[in-house]
Amino acid sequence: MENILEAVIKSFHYGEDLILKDLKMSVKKGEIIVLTGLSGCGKTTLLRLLNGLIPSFYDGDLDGEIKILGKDITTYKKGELAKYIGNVFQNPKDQFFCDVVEDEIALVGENLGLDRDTLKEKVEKAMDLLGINHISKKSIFKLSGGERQKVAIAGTLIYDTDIIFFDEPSSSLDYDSIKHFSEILLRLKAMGKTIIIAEHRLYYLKEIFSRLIYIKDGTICDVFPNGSLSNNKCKELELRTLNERELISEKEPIAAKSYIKVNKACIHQGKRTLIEDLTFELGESEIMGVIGSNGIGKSTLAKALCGLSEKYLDVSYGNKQRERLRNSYCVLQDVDAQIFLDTVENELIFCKDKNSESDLEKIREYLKDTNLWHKKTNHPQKLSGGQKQRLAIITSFLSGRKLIILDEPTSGLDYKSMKIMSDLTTEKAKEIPIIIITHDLELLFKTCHSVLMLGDNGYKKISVKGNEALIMDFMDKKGNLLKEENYVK
Amino acid sequence: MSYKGEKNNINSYQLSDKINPLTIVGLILLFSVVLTVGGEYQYWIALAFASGLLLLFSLRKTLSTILTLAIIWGILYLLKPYLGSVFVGSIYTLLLIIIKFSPIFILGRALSSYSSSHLIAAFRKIGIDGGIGIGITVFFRFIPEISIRMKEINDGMKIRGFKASIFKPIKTFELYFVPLMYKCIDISDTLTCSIISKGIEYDGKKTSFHEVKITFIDIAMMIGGMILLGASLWKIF
Repeated sequence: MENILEAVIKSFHYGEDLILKDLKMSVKKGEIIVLTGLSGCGKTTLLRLLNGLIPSFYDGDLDGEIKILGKDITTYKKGELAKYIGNVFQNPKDQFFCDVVEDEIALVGENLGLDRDTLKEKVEKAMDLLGINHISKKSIFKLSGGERQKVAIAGTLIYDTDIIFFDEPSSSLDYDSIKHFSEILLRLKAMGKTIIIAEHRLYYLKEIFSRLIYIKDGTICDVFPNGSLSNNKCKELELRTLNERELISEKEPIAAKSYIKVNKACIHQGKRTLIEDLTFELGESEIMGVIGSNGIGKSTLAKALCGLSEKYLDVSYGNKQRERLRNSYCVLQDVDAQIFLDTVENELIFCKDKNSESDLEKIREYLKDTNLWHKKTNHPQKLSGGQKQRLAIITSFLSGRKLIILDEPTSGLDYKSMKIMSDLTTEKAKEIPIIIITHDLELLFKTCHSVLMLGDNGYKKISVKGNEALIMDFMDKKGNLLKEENYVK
Repeated sequence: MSYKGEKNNINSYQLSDKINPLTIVGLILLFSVVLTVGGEYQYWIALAFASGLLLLFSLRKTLSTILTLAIIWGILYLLKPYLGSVFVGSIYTLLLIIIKFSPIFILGRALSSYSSSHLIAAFRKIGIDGGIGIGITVFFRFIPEISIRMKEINDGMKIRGFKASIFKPIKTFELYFVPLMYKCIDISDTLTCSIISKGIEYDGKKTSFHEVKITFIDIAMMIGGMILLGASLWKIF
């Protein structure tokens, strides 16, 4: 079969920094290629070279050649690559230029001059294929993560592009949406599309990828055809698991005395009640995960527990909103909105007494543990996504509050960063309980003693140890809880 | 599911088909001269005209605009006896400017009811395909984005224990502005990559998903605007 894409990269520099070196790859039509490796290994840069965003938007010095459909990528006219390449970026919401679903899908066709009738027909067909006709006139600001992803994919089908690039497509999706996404990938494969995915999460791709390319320090270290990569090898390479069903809890249930009590809490979004009569207790040094499908009310619960919403809640650390704000701390999903000061160290010193040597020592320790020490004088908003996430988490740990809630702390993180996060949380939990809202089962099984499952038919708090398979089933069956007797106490 | 009263609802789609967004852009240009050189009569006509136009798009938006203007008028009335103070005087002047140019802000609200695709289609129709058209479209695309981000920053401030205060305007501005700017830069980078990869730079012929026509209503509205401009200029010369 012919090569649809070929890359020979002797070196690629951003300024003085060498990002890629001695890298050769070719992709055949219809293949699904996964690019993986630790954050900063060069996979995003490689993706940008392959999709032409370098040099169209990003600068850099390339010594090498990239061919798309047998033709040097630099010889294509401006904008012409859109005919052959489709892109789905990491956060689909930020990539939308239009504010209405069907307009966004049609955009590429408008730019490439498809006549209106053909365009309408193609848009209809693409929406049909992805099952999103019912949201055709919806605002992009009101879509769920899964819907956004589908809209972005539908946009790549308008001009019948041969190659589709995905940059960490699962990072903003819940468990169920990831499952749907892997089905869409299979449909695209059946249509003969060539798909290249840069990704940390591997479990949902294990059945469908043709080859998995492992990148380390800017070069291809290993290539695994489908079936040749084992979970043990993934562990050795510090990659995310290939088989979630093999995961087992690393934490024993704890029987510490109750530290936090939540009694009959009702959580609302506007006038709608999302969660009714929620009662649970948290032990001292307990880490509790919160799981459930998107829209069930996990983040709304976090906001209510930390005092951002709900005027009155019967909770032990403060019934009034102001008391809850004073006594708890929530690290929001988008941590950019929680970073305000001019340097990384000032961001942390603000939480503590700058004249106390023990406080400063604690800050130094955290900065070193999270690999942020060398960035301490940088502006925090200029850090990478993972670094900002770590900074926001250690800021919460230094806040001195009675309860910490982390909302999706590991979305888009590689295994190594997730492990750092898990270790830090485990250490902090020796002092106070922590709640983690997550879709990341690897994090849940590694870090949490218990889990609060928010289902369509109620809620249940159980220990993670001994209930691994049932937790998986809960995620798989879109949040349907089983009867009490099925769970290990 | 119904999205009545929100941006991009079915009603605004039908209206967008009848009123060309460029007519509103034209009226904004005409009204900016009318409000600068015109008298009281021209001001009230412009205000009534702009409010009536906004009403065609959204009752909710019109009511909230009228309420905002009424509050500003009320504040102006209350401040009038204290104009001797420099601080009160500067706030009074600022509010007066807002009131004076309110018809333009109202037209801007009506323009923001169009989808980005309609705006681009209208600009393409008159041969403006590049920078200006995309710039204006992106501006309106960012308005809802900014209000979402402001709310997130507000939540972030509450959690961190930072407080906005009118007595510390520079600090408050900094607290909102810095994360907002970084977020906007971030989004604009992704957005630029996205539109480049969707062929915005393509040199060939471009088309539009929506048909945007110039209708009798557009011509009538522009003639009305021109008459108002003529009346304002007549007074001067």
